[in-house]
Amino acid sequence: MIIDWIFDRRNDGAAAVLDGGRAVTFLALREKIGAVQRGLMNEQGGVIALCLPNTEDYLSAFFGVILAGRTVFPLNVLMTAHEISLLIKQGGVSAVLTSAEYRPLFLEEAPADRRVLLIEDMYGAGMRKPILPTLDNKSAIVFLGTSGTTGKVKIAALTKRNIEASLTGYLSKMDFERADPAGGRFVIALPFSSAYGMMCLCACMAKGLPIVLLRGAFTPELFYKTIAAHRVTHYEGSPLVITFMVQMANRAVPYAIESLKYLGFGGNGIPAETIKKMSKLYPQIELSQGYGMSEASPLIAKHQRSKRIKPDSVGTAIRGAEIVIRTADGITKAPGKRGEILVRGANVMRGYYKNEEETQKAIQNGYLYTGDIGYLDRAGYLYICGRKKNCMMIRGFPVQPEEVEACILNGSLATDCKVYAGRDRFGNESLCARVVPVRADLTAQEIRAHCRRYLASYKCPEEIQFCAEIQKNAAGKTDRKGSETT
Amino acid sequence: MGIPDRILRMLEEKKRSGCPVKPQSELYKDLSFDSLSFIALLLEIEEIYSIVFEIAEMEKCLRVVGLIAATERKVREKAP
Repeated sequence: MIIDWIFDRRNDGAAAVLDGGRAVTFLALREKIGAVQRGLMNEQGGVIALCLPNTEDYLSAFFGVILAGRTVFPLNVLMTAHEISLLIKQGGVSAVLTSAEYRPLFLEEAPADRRVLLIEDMYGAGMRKPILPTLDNKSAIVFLGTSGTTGKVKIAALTKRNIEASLTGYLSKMDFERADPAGGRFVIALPFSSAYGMMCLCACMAKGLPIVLLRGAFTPELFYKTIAAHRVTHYEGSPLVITFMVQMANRAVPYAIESLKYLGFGGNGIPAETIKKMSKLYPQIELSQGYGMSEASPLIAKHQRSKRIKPDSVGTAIRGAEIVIRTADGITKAPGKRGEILVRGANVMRGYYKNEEETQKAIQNGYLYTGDIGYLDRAGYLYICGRKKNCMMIRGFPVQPEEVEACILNGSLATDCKVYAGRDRFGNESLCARVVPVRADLTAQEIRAHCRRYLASYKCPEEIQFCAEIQKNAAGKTDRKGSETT
Repeated sequence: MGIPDRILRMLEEKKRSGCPVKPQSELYKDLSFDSLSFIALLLEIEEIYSIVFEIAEMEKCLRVVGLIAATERKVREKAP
């Protein structure tokens, strides 16, 4: 399923990617995939990191690496060289596939056993027909970096079986045959390198649906203009677009956006009130929230198309997955019982790469311990109420507070600090920090500037408060109880 | 405080990059704004000056000089 579409020639002439005024056909994309596959045939080693933005090159590289029988390790282009360096070392990466534009991120990465390959060079050797490989269901074909503390990111190892289980679940929920008999055109407003982005692009390719690229700074104007120009029907991405569509509702939208009929989202908890407002303002747009994590390849639950959504819920379990709740009394599916969400199914990862200790904590008796707190209702709808783990979801990206704290402390700017999630004016999670400064005249701008040198922008605290001390718990560690919303 | 100074101060407070705020600075590329923080900034400016940016006008606000000019223009337009 994940690669079958590459060898199905029936839609050769159809558009696979729409990029401004350009249409890249499935045939052209297949040949680019073939070029990457052939280009990697002589590369030694198993893991190839992929660092490219959301373009057709990403698609050809992603599938080309898989067809070459390697493990692809997508990296977010928003990351700094420092963050990427940590991931590459931990992931046992033998080569990096990137473009000339992003080559500078890897200038420090020049050990003899790790090559930097350019996509331009792959194409330069000529377009090729892809060769059908044999992929087993046991080897990892994708690595996904999950949130982790500084220097110790966990890398989820996903097999073909894992990804196809999640994909099957997504396609079942989307019910394209019934809900979209005329097909559709997708905007995927998330990094293709994310777990969610990966699932969406695989789904589009599997169903022969063109992906419309968003080029440039994501603004309301770009969003609406793109929908109108390409008659976009489906959006998958951050729920923040709902936030700004609601905020902008009292302004004239100078573009025809009637084609937009579906808006799927996940990532972070958008207030249910915002979803309700959106439904009233745009009743023709079907909203569908989902829930997942990299370790589940990634989809765990989603609303079924064409069924009324419950705005507080993330939907029901995908086909083939079982969701249970672990309470103090044990594991249950009884409605209303609150506890840690566990999931079991073919979508659950094989484990973390070279991290048996964390794998055994995360997967017990076949259940993935998500670290999220929730409950089920009588109809099996899942509701998320909080997190057991420290991880925050900022702008749809997972952020570990310890990583940001370590960055601040390592800069000798603070003697202590605490990073936590606050709520912005829209009710979305935003990154905040309380800092005990090393000197009285330290400014918030200095802290942000320092963080920005080492961390992606979404990991830089928006709000910074200075204080005399950080509260500790009985064990002497930063007290994070009640931190999640302030 | 005049409009340019006030907006420059807001940008200094809200930017998430170490780059200095200059007239030609791009909010996304140089100052690490994203779509949500960009809209939050515009909404805050709208509240301060009791103005409303239309969606098409927001594109002109992606650079510091454009944001200041657009704000000054909207304030002039609403003046009796």
